Parts: sequence; structure tokens; C-alpha cells
Amino acid sequence: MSVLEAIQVQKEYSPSGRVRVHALRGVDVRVEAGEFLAIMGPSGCGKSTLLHLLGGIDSPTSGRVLLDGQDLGGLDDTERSIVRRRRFGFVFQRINLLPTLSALENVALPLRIDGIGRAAASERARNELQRFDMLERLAQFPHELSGGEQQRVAIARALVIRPAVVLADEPTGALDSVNGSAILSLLRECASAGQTVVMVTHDASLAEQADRIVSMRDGLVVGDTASRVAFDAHGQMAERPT
Amino acid sequence: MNLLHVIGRQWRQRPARTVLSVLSVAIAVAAVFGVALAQSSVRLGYRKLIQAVEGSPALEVLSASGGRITLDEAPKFSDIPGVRAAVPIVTRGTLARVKGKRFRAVLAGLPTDDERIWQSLQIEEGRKCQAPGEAMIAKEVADGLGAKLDDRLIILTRRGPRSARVVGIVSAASLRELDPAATLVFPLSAAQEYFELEGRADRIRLLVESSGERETIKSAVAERLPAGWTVQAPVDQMELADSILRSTELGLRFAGALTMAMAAFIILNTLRMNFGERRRDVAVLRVLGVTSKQLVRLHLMEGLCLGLIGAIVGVPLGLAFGRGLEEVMQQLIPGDAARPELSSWTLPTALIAGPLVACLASLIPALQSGRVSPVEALGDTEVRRGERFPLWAVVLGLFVWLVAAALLLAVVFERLSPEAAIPSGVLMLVGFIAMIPVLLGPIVRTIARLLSPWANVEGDFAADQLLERPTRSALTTGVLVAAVSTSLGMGNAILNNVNDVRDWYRRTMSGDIFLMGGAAEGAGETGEGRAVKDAILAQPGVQSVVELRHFSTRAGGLPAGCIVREFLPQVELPWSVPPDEVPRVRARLAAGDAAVGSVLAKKLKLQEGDSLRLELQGRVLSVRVGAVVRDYTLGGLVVFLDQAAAAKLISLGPAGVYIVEPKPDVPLAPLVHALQPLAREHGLVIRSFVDLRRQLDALIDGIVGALWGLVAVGFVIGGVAVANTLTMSVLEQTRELGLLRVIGMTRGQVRKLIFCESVLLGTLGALLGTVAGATTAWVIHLCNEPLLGQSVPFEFHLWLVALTAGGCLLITVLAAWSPGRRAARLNVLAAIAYE
Repeated sequence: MSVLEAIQVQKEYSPSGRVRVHALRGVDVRVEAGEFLAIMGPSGCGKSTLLHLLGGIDSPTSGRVLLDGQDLGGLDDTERSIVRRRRFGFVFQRINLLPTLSALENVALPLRIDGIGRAAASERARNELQRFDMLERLAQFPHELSGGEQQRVAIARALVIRPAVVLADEPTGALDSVNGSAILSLLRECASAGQTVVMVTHDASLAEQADRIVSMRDGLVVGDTASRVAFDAHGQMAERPT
Repeated sequence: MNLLHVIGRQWRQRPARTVLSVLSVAIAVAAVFGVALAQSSVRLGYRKLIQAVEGSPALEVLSASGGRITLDEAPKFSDIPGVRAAVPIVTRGTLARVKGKRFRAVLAGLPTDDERIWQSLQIEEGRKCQAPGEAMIAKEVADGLGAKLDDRLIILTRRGPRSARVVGIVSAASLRELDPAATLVFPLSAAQEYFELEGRADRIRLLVESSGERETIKSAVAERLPAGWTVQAPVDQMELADSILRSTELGLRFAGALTMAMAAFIILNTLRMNFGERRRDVAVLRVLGVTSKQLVRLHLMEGLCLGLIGAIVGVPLGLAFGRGLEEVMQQLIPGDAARPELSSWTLPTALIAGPLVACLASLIPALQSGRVSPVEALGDTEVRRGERFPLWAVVLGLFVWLVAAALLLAVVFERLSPEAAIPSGVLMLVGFIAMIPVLLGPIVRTIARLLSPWANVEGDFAADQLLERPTRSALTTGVLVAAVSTSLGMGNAILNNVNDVRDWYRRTMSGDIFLMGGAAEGAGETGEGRAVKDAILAQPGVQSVVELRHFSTRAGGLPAGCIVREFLPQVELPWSVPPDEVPRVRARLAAGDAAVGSVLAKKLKLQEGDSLRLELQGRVLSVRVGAVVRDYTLGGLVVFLDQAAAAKLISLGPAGVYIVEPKPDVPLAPLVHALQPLAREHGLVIRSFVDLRRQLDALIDGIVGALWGLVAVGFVIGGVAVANTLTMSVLEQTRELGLLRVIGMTRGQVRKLIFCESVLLGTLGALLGTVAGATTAWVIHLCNEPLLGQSVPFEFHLWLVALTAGGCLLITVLAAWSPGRRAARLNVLAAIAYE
């Protein structure tokens, strides 16, 4: 059953007010529950735009985005905010932690925004950070953490609300290879635990670690294939039988 | 492309930020104008008030021993700045006859050759008297006697009866400006001849431009006087001006200085944010090899440019604001009020101060930009963590505060001039604001906790935002603190002052009607005065009549006024005395003791029971001090004696003033009408206290209105500053706000977040401003004593606290509306990509 679906989605921008940019030209994508989907393509192909539309951050010029069958376009701004808050977790390349909040406060933030009390939110955030082996760094501020640690905090923040879908935009783009693969493993683990993950990347080797790869070029989906690698229930990688 | 082009490009790329920066300077410049105009309005109101009470301001030069002065020995006074004219006067009480009617008159001999004197006299009919044998008559007296131009007037002089032709009829009110008792005017030479005073005069009356300058002029005049001459305020004037204006002027200058400080805070805050937001751009320039010095120069240049543009925008804004204020003042101050004026220095000050303050304000961020590391440009992640307010700044703030407090103590204990209270007060406030970051944490967290039932996460997040930027928060709060403390401190002090004056004149003008000008000082017979009083009392509807006389005296060696009057049991004492003290004070006055004005008592270090040396009518008397009273007559340099007791010591003569109190429910107009024949017969002028009190009340209301104008200016500045700061803050937080929206914060929550920030700032400003304002009010109160020589009763007006604190909160909440809306409408994708 698909949890997230883009149907004939088009997106046009007019950044300078004169030139129109067709970022997406009619894209169809289905994301199944518990699936780890990679959207791959070169810079400027529209993959981040698609992710933004799937996450309800932006609205398509035409077409529909369905979350559990519900059209996000039919929601007003407040309803879309609540959907984003409760159903999606976002991980960005630039990490985007709030510099004025500690690691614990950053992770607790979506819960606090959702009206959960400070103590309960902190407790859940602490548990989430424990999963990512960050218990020692709870009180640190983003600038006091390494890039890898910052991204782990960002993933913990994305997951703390138990979202239906985690949307990750180049999550390893700002990290070195060691930290990058650690972050990827974390996302992989999430998917293995039944969490739906949609990851945007331009790196084919990273995309290979997903269950399925949607390839894009010039605002169009040009390929939709299963990954050549497979993972067992323990997250161990194996060659997918062809 | 040079570096200035880079700045220009940045201005164009971020127009909102640029506009806000320019606006901050424009607001500051407009504020200088606004406050200058409001100050001018308050001053104007005061001057009108004083003029209404005591006529045009004047000084009198006379012989210290009470004799005549020889005019050949008189130095030149007319070249002293502020002196409009110097008028030698001979005044004599005499008997006169016109159209067969005999009447008691007071003759004033005035010089005929000085046009400036005659310009101040309003001639109703005819012309001025120029030659011997010509005279003018006061209109009220002429009307009463039916005297007309060309009538023959006969007066009794030392050389016998003299005849003169009436050539002019002069307004009594304008004549009072020169001589309060005069009803007839003769050329000075004629008066000198009639009374064998050739080459001599009783006094020289100096007409001065403004009451506020009287003290300065007095000092300048005193330096020129020959030995045995003295200069003092006329006994008929109360020197309200000198006392109240000095106090008000101090308050107004303090407000002006605080406005400048507020303006500097606004500019500093905005420019700090402006530069802080471009930290990464600066780092990129550093990577490209721009030196620290170049960056500092660049940002100073930018500050100067922003300042210049802001000043150009601010001047018309300020003028427009001033014009609006003028209109309001025209409504508030009754009569043909002169328009509030800007002094000639206001425009250049504003035009120079704007760019200068902007340049100075940009110095700190410029120096900071010089220290930006190129590494910051290379970081791919957001490494900014909230700034830390340097501890040294807090310590310096505490030091400045302590120094300022010490200076103020020196003012209070009269070791320093009261003028020193202005820079000290401003320094104290600046020191206090520098310490705000220490107070921020506990106060902001407490307020956020109070907000939590309504805005849990928003309140916490808003508190975080404020605490993570302590300098910005402290400067914004500083603007509000300055606005609240100025309004509260100065408002409280001026209200206390005004209330005290109001209370005093209500007591002093205890009757409803007074008849004045009965006699020149010390002239005539007591018995005749008694007859006048009996005649007034015989009028139906008169409840009581109090006789009052003014004398020039030297008390303990100081020039002072002596008021001899009746203290009738049924008439309230003219001072605020505790009820249980009243019988004792009355008994002492009846026993011949003196009630001494508190200013005089302080100068002579007198207490109750002490002995006071009085020089009256060429005699030296020793009287006991029965009470020290707060009185504004002659600036508090006054001695009151009971008439019956004084009659045993000196020759009193007829009263100069009769204060008439009608019986309850007796209409005033018919009584005044009934008293007119009596007044004419005795050369008295009737004035109604009712009208004067009404006029004074209206003027005081006008002053209070102008004061509110000043308060409003402070709040408008504070409000715009907060709006500006919040808008800049929204710009600065664009990325964070975008991120919050991405992770599910609704537009309403974002609005609430900005609203919470403003509530926190407003509450903080109101709380700290109230503390600072209460301190300011108390400091002004303490400084009043060295300034006025007497203490004005201190009352802390809680309604004013509620009004200023509520106003602060309201204005900040209103100021949050636009930034909140802007924040809620941020484009999420653009926001998270915002650099």
C-alpha cells in the first residue's frame, strides 16, 4: 500500500519574475509503507523540489500529492503545518539545527510545537538521542558538535515524532565519508525497522543502499528500479538477486 | 567594483533591512525634533502660567537702604542680554481731583524718551505724555470718574497742587507691567520736580525677555551695581518663574538628553543587527583578502551614509510631527498662545547628530566585523551560537551607575550644581541598561513561565531568542526603559510640582475678589485703610476682607519680601500646614512671630524659635521665627507678619491689596459691580480670583497636556524602536523561522512567537522602566531641593505607573503586529535557504 504518492506533479518557478523555470514536468512517484526510496539525479534535475512537494513544504503548480490517500493540496496552511509536524520528519544537507537550542532542545522541538509539555518532550528526546548514542552530548549546542553529530541530532529530531515518512535531502552532503556512511546506516536502520524513508541524493553509491531508486533528469522521472543491493532483517547488506 | 559597491549591492539585495536601518536613524532624528517641540510647548505653557500670575517678568534695581537712587550713578543695563528695557520710576501716593471729583491715586513718573517703554504700554485713547503739564490716566479709573481726554487733572505734590492735562488713557493691565499700583502717569522729569527728586528715582524697573533668564540677568546686573544698590525681583512678582521654570527646565533637559540616548540606542541596535546579519558576507570578504582595517572603514562609511540618509528623511518627519503637536498645543493652551518654536540649534543638531551617532554606533559592529574570521565563510553548517554579553560591559555598567549615583548625591548635597544632574541621570540610565543582561535571564524566564498556559513553546522559544542575543535585547529594552523612566520620572516630578503650585495658589488666592493698588509702599494713613476695609465689609454679600501689604526688606542681610497681612480665624492659612499645627502657627503669628519662607529659612539656616533680623522702613527689627512655611512668593524669600503685630513695630499705611471673600452662594458679578464705585473712589483696581484661577487651571491643564505630548513622543519612539527591532529580528531569524515552519509550526504559532517576544520585551521594559522611573522621580525630587531651595512633597502616582507600564506593554504589542505578520507569511523554502 502506498503511503505517499505524487501524481502528475508539475512545478514552475519564476525566480526573477521574467524567466520561468520548469522544475518538475509531470512526475509520478509512489512510495510504499516501510520502503527506503532514493531519488537520484544530477544537480538541478528537480529532485529536491519533488521532496519539498512530497513533504508539503511547497505546493505543486499542477498535479496532486497524496499522503495516505489524502490530497495535501486540499489542506490549508495550518492543516499542512500539522501534517508536516506529525507525519513527516525532515533531514537536510545543511542540517538546519537551531543554533540557539541545545541538542536535547532541538530534538524536543517538534514535540513542543505539537503541544507536548517540556518534561515529557525532553524525556522522549532523551530516549531518541540515546538511540543515536548521543546521550553524552545532550546539553551541547550545534556549534559544539561535529558535523556527523549534528546530523545525528537532526535525524533524531526527524524521528522523535514517529513520523509516517522521513524525508532526507542529501543527508550526507555536508559530511565526510565516515560520518556519511554512519548517517546512511542510521537511515537504513530506520527503514529496516519499518519506517518509510525518502532520500534525495546525487550519489549513485548512496542511492544503491535504498530499496528502490527513482532517477530524474530535467524535471522528469527517467527510471524507477529496485536497488541492486538488499538488506536483511538485521540491516546486513547482500547482493539482490536479479 | 570597490567595496562600497559591494555594500550598495547588499543594500539593494536586502531592501527591507536597508529601509529599517535608515528608518532607525530617521526615527532618532525625528525624535530630537519631536522632543524639542514638546519641550518648547511645556516651556511656553509655563511662561504663560507665570505671566498670568505675576505679569511680565521684571527685576528692580533700588537702594539697599530703602532710599532713592541717583540716576547719574546708574550703570547701563539695556545692553545686558535679555533686558528689554530699563525704566527709572518715581512712584508716589497722592490725592487727585478731576471733573470736581477727588480720589486717591498713585502717580508713576516714567521717562518719555525711551520708546521701548512706551511700546509695552497699551494706550487706549490719546497719546503718551511728553511734556510737563501732561498726564495719562488708567482706563478703569478714567471710566469710573468719567474722565476724558483734555480734562484738567489736579494733583497734590510736595510743591503744592499742580495741574496737568489728560493727554492719554492707558490700559491698567499694561501699566501694571511697570508699576503695579499706578493709576496716573506723568513724565519722569515732572514727577521728579513735583516731589523734589531731581536726578533721582525710587527704582529702576528692568523688563526682561523671559522669566527663565531672570536669575542670569540678576547676576549680570548685580556685577554692575554701585555700592549700596541692590537688584531683586519686584515685590509684586512672585518669582514663580525662577523656581518652577528652573525645575521644569531641568526635567525637560533631562528628557531631551534621554531622548538622545534613546536615539543612540535605536541606531546602535539596528546597525548591530544589520552588520551581524551579514557576518558570513564579511567572512567571505576576509577570505578574499580584505583587511580588518578596510572592513572597519567600510562599515564606518556605511554607518555615515545610513546616518545621512536617515537624517534627511528624519527632518521632514520630525517637522510633520512637530506641526501636529503645535496644533494640539493650540487646543490645549488657551488664549492667543504663541506657537512652540524650535531653537536655532535644533535643525543643525539633528542633521549632525543623526550621521554622527550612526557613525559612532557603527563603530562597535565595525570593530566586530574587523575581527570576523575567514573560517566562518568556509563553514558549511550554521555555527552561529547566541552572542555572549561581555562581563566587562556589565562591570563597566555597574561602575558607571555607581559614579553617576555619586554625582547625583553630590548634587543633592549641593556639592555640584543642579545642572550636573542631567549628565549624571543619563549616565545612571546607561549604566543601568548595561547591567540589563544580568537581569535578563531570571526575568525573561519568569515571564515566559507565566505565559506558558497560553503560549508554551512559543513563550519558551521567544525567551530563548531574547536570551541568546543579550546585547540586542538589552538595547531594545534600554529604549523602552528610557521611554518609561522618562515618562514616569519626569511626569511624576512635574505632576508633583504642578500640584504643589496649584495647591499653593489656591490657598494664596483664598478669596474670590481682590482690590489692589490702594497705596504705594508705606504711604498714607492706616486709618484711611481701615475705612476702605470697613466700606468693603459694609457691602452686602461680603463675608470677609483680608488686608495685605508688600514691603521690600532685608532679612538676615538677604534681599527679601515682607508680607504683612491679616490671618483671620475664618480664612484658611495660605500655606499647607498640618491641621493640628494650625492653632499653634496662628498663635505664634498673633504673638508677633514671623512665618518664614522655607527657601529663606534654608539660606539663613533658620529654625523655629530662632531670631531673625529684619530691615524694614529704615528700621532694624528682630523677630522670632514662629514657623517655616513652603511658599512660592518671591521664590520663597519671604517673611510673613501678622498685621496687628506688625503695626506695633512699623508704620503700615493703607493696605496694598484687599482680598474679599463673598458669602456662600452670593453671585460674584453683582458684588464686583457693587464694589466698583468704592474701588474708583480709592483708586483701586478690582480683579477676580475666579477668572484668574480658571485661567491658571486651564494653563496648568495645558502644561500637563504638553507633558503628555512629551510622554507620547517617548512612547512613539519606543514603539517604533521595538517594531524596528522585531522586524530586524524577524529578518535575522528568517532561516530559523523557516525551519520551524518546516517542522510543523503553524503561521499562528509563528505570529504568537513574535508576539511573545514583544510581550517579553514590553514587560521587561515596563518592569525595569518602572524601577528606573521611580528612581528618576526620586532623584528629581531630591534635586528639587538644591534647585528650588525647598522640597516639594513627594507623591508617587500609581496611576502614572499603571499608565506608563501599560502604555509600554501596549505599544510593544502593537509594534509586534507587522513583524509577526511578516514572519508568519515567510516563504518556507526561501526562508530555509536564507543566508
